[in-house]
Amino acid sequence: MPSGRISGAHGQVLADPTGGTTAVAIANLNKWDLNLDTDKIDVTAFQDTNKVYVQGLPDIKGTIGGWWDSAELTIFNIALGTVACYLKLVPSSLDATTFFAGKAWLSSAIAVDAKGAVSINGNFVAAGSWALTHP
Amino acid sequence: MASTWDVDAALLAKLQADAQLVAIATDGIWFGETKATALKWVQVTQIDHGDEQMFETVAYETVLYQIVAIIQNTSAVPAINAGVRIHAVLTGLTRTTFTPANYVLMEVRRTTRIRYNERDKSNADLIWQHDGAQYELLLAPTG
Repeated sequence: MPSGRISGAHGQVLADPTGGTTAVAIANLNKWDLNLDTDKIDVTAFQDTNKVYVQGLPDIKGTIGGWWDSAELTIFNIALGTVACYLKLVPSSLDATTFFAGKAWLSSAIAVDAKGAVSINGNFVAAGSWALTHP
Repeated sequence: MASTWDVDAALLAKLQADAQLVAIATDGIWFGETKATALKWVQVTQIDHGDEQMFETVAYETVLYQIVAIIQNTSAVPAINAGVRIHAVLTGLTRTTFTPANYVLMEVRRTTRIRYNERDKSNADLIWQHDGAQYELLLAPTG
């Protein structure tokens, strides 16, 4: 299992539009990010010397981005559907057994600019439990 | 395997296939320098190149070419006419008419027009006319 600092060049986003776990790589993407920010609940009381918080649940959300190709419409089909998809986010396909995955509600967008390539992006929030898998 | 050399060759072939341009640039259309005795020719050079990355591979390449007609003449008209033909050839490229091996053309755009003249360094009565432009080609590798 490779370890150490890595390049994002071998990142990967896989999805199963049916919500199952048979995820297939989505082509033409060049970016994903995942935010695991947790709720912080203020429980500061009299005589505390600083503010004190307790931690709530992680609010799983993130984005994906890439280039438009009419042969790869997965993220648009998911966004226009009514089923939560299964997303698998792999930091590097060279270490494909380490990934984040879970069910998600995925929205998508397309941007067309006369001065550049047509780009796509999407954002998602959790539709079920997410987990980090690491051997 | 996609190689930008194939884009260079396909572009040169397109320019060399334009009969009107060839009729003006009678000493040929070349990548880089040409023979020392050339008086009417078109010079193609690559000015810049960039890869736009996506996961695992290159999404598309950007290649900036400078294509200039260089013609010895006190009149600018032949060079201007050559520049018009260069522009017509480049703006006429589409993904169906310009098909370098292992690439799909995404876009062609002119970034800078070029026009100037200069005196010959050994004979001040001779003028070298330059007319053309820099063109940015965006191409997606397919293999």
